[in-house]
Amino acid sequence: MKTQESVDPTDVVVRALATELKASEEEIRAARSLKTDLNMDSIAAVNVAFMIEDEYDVEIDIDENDKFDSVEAIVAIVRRVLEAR
Amino acid sequence: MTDRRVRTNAPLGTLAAVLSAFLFVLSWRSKVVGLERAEGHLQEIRSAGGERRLLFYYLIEDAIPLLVLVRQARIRLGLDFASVCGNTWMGRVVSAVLMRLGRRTLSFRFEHATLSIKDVKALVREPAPLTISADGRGPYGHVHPDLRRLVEGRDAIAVPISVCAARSLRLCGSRRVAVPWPGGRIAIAVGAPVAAAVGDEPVSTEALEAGLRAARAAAKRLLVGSEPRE
Amino acid sequence: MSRVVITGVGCVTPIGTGMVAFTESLRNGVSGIGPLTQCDPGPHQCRIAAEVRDFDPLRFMDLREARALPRVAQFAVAAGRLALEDAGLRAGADQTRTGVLVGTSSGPIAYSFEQQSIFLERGARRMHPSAPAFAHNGVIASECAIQFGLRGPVLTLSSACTSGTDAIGLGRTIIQAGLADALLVGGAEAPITPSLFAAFDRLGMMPRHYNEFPEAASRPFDLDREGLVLGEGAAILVLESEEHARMRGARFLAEVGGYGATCDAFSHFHQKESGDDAVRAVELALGSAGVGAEALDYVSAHGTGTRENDPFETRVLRRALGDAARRVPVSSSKSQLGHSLGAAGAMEAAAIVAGMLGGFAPPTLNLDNADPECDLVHISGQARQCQIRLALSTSFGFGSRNAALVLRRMDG
Repeated sequence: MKTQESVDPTDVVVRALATELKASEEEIRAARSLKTDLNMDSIAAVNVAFMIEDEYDVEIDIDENDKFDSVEAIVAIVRRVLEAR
Repeated sequence: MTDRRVRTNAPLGTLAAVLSAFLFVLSWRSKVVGLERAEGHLQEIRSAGGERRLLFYYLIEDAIPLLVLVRQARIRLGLDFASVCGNTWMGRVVSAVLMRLGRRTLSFRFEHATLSIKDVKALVREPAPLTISADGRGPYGHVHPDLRRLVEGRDAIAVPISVCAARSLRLCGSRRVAVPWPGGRIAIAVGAPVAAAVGDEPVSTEALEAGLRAARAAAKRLLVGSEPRE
Repeated sequence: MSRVVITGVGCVTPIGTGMVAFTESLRNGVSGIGPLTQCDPGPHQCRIAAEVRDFDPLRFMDLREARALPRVAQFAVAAGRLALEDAGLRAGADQTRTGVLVGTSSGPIAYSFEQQSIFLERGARRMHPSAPAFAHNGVIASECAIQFGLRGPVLTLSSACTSGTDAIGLGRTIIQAGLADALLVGGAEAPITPSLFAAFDRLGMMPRHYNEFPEAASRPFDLDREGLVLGEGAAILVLESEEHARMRGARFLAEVGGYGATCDAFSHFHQKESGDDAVRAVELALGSAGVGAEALDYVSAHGTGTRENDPFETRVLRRALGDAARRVPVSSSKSQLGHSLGAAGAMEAAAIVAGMLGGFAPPTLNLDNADPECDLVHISGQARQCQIRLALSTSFGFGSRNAALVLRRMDG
């Protein structure tokens, strides 16, 4: 399903995280560190990235300055990618 | 194609050159045992595997003997395979050596939280077969749980490989580094592929470890079978 | 010369606070090693440590003290209070003949670094005015003295990884010399601070391939050992002269039978390969206890799990114990506790007392494949049920120091 860019990516990100980490959306939003609080490792993070890429038909590229450890950080990356398109 | 992210610098380049020369010495007059059978197995696995990508895995102590075989250009595994190297100094040196030998390498920066996500993505997406050590990051002799997840992520056929030398030198008393004696015998065995059929449970770490043990036993038998007669 | 006895033990360790929890964890082979939480593990090759988790200083001191004190002093006070309770020695009573001798390697290092950062980032005015009194090793012993009203000799001893053993051994000497009737002795350490952890990491002395398998990381004598796991905590023993203890009707746990301390005068990082002075430390300890090696029931090894220490220690023990080395079981409780530097010797003494009272010898965990160069009688995997009447404890430290203790079970 391709999502319109005007939709706030937060919900998409939270749903993807909830699916991969098998946690509730409340737990996802409340987590300060996905790695520490919800045991998200790099492979889980990649699965989340793939889900978001499918949703928006984009490629998420991250660099060493990014953080991929909270909903806010991931949303910021997705916004950046969408704006650059 | 070389990986831009593996930065080579002068000291690393020098070390890689020294190791390459060292590999030349090690591979000179070494006798490889089991190569034809291994290549036959690989051919069968490729044919049977269809579209599914391959992931060759081995014990870290086999890394230098495997490099010797690659140096001899005797083992190809498929011209296009890419070697996954961790971003430790040893991994970077091995990567530099492989590039000098014309092989493709992919970096895995597992110590950097965000870059490791980027690298795992590349590994999952990489179309070419990969080679990766099973215990490079974790305890000796144990398949790291992340390897199982990488196999799952790639929906790959995992193929255990064992390369061992009849005589080797252990460096610093560690079992992780085995340097084959020059001019000695090196055996290669390709184990039975470990793969999950569609709809089945994903492969387990135990299955991956069992595959490695079986390949190791096969390589050791080859060495015994090839002992020079008096 | 008067005998010096142990009448109480208290401890704060990665496997439990208090002797009941500590003993059970030792017996059950519980590992205190886990992911590093006190500093950012990101930049380090080794990302695990033996931390004291869930330590609540408010159980042992009030809020104002807990806020002001460096962590290492909190550990010492907590362990000291538990030891005094165990010994039935009332804290706060007039104690002019009771003192403190605590060993530490890094002392209040985290506190000092923190004050330094505050000074650099925010200026001198934001530093705590009590910093000069707290940013020195002596604060550990003096805080114990203040908390418990102890007015005899109050000393902190610093001799790297032999500090705990030295404190117990020298505590015995002080009591025998008549300078005190009772002493709180032991070790305390809280070295897990970003820069010190980074320095150990750079030294390459810590395991790199066990970050996802922390409980398997400390592997003394094993073929796949990769180094020490940094630990923290404190263990305090109450030592008394036998007369003093009998006079007040104290329960005897064990005796500090003998002590030996030597130095190779060789290097800050390595022991001399011959091990002559290390052997001499063991011989001095056995000699001052008036026993031969054949009388030993158990050896608590220094056993850090570094590639260098374990074969070295094996050679030392085989020489020092002679034929007894083929019989006497050896284990390293660092496989469970990690290496708490200055507190290690004291924690190991506490572990010996726990074993003496509990009828077991603690195991060396993760000894899956013993290094052929470490051919001793190992207690691997599980604690061994046995009666320990006489035990030897060895410690080696930076500066090529060697120390050994002999502990003897006492009933009564």
